[in-house]
Amino acid sequence: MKLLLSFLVMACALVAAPAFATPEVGKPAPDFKALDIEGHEIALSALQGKTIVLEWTNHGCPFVKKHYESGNMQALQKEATDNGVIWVSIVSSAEGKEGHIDAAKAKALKEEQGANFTHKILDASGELGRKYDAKTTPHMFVIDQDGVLVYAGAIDDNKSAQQDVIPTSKNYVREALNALKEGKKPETASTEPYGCSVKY
Amino acid sequence: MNIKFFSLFLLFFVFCAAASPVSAFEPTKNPQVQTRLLADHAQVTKGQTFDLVFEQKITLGWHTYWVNAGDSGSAPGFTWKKPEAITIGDVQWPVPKRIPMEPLLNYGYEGTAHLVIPVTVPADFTGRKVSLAANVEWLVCHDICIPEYATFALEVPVGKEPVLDEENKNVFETARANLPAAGTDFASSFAEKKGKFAVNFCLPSEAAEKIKKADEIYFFPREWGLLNYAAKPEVKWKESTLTLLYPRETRDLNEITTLNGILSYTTDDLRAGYQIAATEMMDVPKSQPEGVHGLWQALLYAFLGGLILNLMPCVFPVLSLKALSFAKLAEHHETGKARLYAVGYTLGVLISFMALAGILVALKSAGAQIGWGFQLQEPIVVYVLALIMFAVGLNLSGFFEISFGVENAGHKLTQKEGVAGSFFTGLLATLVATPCTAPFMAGALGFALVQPAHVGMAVFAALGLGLAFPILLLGFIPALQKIMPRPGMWMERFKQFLAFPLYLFIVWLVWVLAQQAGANAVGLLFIGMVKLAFVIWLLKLRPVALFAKSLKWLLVIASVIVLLLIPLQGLKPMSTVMPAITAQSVPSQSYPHTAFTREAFNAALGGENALFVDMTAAWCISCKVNEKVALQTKKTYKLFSDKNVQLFIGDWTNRNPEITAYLQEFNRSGVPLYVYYPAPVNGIRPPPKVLPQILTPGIVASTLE
Repeated sequence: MKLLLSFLVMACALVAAPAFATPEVGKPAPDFKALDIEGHEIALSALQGKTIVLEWTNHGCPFVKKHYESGNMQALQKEATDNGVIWVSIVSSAEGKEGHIDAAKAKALKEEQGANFTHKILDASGELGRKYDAKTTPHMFVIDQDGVLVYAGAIDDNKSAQQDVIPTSKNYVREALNALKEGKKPETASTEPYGCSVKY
Repeated sequence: MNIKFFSLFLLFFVFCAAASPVSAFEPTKNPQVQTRLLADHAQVTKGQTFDLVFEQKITLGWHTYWVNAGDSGSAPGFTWKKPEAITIGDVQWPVPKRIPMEPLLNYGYEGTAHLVIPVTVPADFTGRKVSLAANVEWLVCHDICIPEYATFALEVPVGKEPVLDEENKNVFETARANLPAAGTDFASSFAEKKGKFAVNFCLPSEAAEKIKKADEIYFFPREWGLLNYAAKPEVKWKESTLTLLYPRETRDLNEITTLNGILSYTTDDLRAGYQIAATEMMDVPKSQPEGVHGLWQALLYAFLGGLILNLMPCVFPVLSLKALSFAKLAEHHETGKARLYAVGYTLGVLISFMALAGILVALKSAGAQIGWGFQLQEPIVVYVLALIMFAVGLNLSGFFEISFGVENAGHKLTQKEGVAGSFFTGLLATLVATPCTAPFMAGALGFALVQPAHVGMAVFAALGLGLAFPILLLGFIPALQKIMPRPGMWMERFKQFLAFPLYLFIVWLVWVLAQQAGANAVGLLFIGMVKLAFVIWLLKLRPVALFAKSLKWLLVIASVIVLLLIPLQGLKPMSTVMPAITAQSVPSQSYPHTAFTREAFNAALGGENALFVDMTAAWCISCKVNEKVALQTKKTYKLFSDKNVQLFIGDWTNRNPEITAYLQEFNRSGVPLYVYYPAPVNGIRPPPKVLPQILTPGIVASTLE
């Protein structure tokens, strides 16, 4: 009976496999390899043992501005990286679309924003964005030390584009990182991301 | 115009004193969306609900968002400042549009969009006007996105009479015309099926016809993360049941109890839609372990149900005959044959059950709206069953003996005939058992019919095994055979006696047929019975002369042709869809009832009365017993009228897809089904209560209390 069951489960899993892999919370995060703006090669598989945050961003998007102009994102980046978290900001804006930047502009922007990411990846082809099914800016992913995706979704629970809602918002990424620090799973594993669409 | 737009300054001047700390809110200058907030009334009265409209005139090429924005974006948000007594209802969203932003997709609006917002003034409102102010934030996008802001203030005087604002009449007409039509009462459900996200709509035929003609059909879910927005769904129709299949996204279905949304259809660029509230399809086991637990339980119940069937009045005569034959065998110490017969009988039962189940599963997967007991919804089946019962009855009465061929006439216990006879008895037992669906069985069969075919078949096999079990035991345990009383003359008498319950059973079948197909069909059945008796009598004759022989066979052939022609002639159900409600079939003259139709029922559901739904069929014996014992009693009627209960009776005697769909909502595949819907409390109807399948007046009373 057990054999039959496992066969059935397998058969179902086969049928259920979608055409392209969407990252699923609780499953290993899709591996990727890319160059950051400093020219370093970043590979997810090489970062095992570290907690990783992926942040999809587009400096022209009002929702990204909400979190950068208020200093909210930078503070979160600092808090995270101080705790040994690897923070990767990713720009998937295609050439000619809003938010598309080159490495030089990215470096200038880092200074201007006072951003505290570990790496920034320019993903103009959108390959990385599609691999993670990144939909909005910001769209946040947290990967634990075993390479498992433990959080995917919005940065916080207030969809407004206004900065002054930030102090009363619940920051899901901070929550997830704190839970991981205590050796727990994040209480909220996935939420609906909000913001501008990723400009593929 | 009584609606006044104040300047921002005035707004804060008027409201800031009592206002919650709302942030400094700067209206956007030169926005991409021109907005207005309007009221449909120039004056309102206490206790009235009036509407506001938030109008968006969106710059060409830009779009704003529906409540679920799709892959990105954000729906307009409202922060109200209002007197505490005033209630602002949920925003009513017009039918949205799919706006592709390759590879993503948004749900939203282009051009002009009106959101309708109901406002309720309580009956004990003391103010002389309703003063409202709102901060509205929305996101407008094309390639880039801009959050925009506006503030509004308006007041509507409270007077004796409501007065419509003529100036806004056209806007409100347009706004309401673009809202989705009511459809939350369609039986809609959602489920994950083979990695797809499936939404199922049992549409009223009127809606189905409209939607079938559409160029594009789409369901907009209000919940995020269930389905891939960018993909177009696969559209499947089964009569008026629509299924949309989407690629599944990863959000756990357990997080959702009711999936609200809009079923939209676009015909010649005109968008329209229905408001939908879908519930999770109950029949899909959420996880494997639960399913297995359910399976074993269903198998056990089916087996027990089968056992109990043996005691039903329709099966018992057949069974006792079989049991008696074992007594004979024991007399002759034929233990080997006893086993063989028991196996033959079991096979007969199992095979016929599997055949029935197979037909049912096949028909269901072909989309027929049928359920357990469907066999008896066909007048032809009732006709054949009555003839078979009549033949068996004649046999029991001693009118003739079954013998296969002249040579075997004297050797009634030959092996071949015995096994075949046992097999035949098994078939017969199944046929007559189906109307006596035991209480245990409805649940198990309901489970069986919504399972994958092989699981369903297993459940039916368990049922058959239960039915055959006593005979199987008797065949294999000689000690049991010895307990059987010794054969003798009494056995012949007992056999003859057993014919009478069978004749009564035939009377019941005749009555069922009368409900289904009318008096003519009954006449035809009686002709059939006479013809059958005539054929049997003819077959008994052993004429010697060639002429007599030829005449005999000629008559036999002629009679058989008549027997076969009858079903083709007059045994059509009176109507395939309409319930066969007649005074006889549902004799509840002393309490008014409404025949169950989706439309009537849904209308009542929206009303104020408590509702009682009785799903029944003329051929359902347990339904009839319940009606006599617990429902059609003075006490229950009094209770109904005290509680102002509206009684709905669904007659499933003939096929009726609406009733079948209703039964399925409760995970049932057959009647009886009794459901009580308490009267709404504060406008909200408490969840319905399902009553057990065996009723007592006490159960009915305690449910209604």
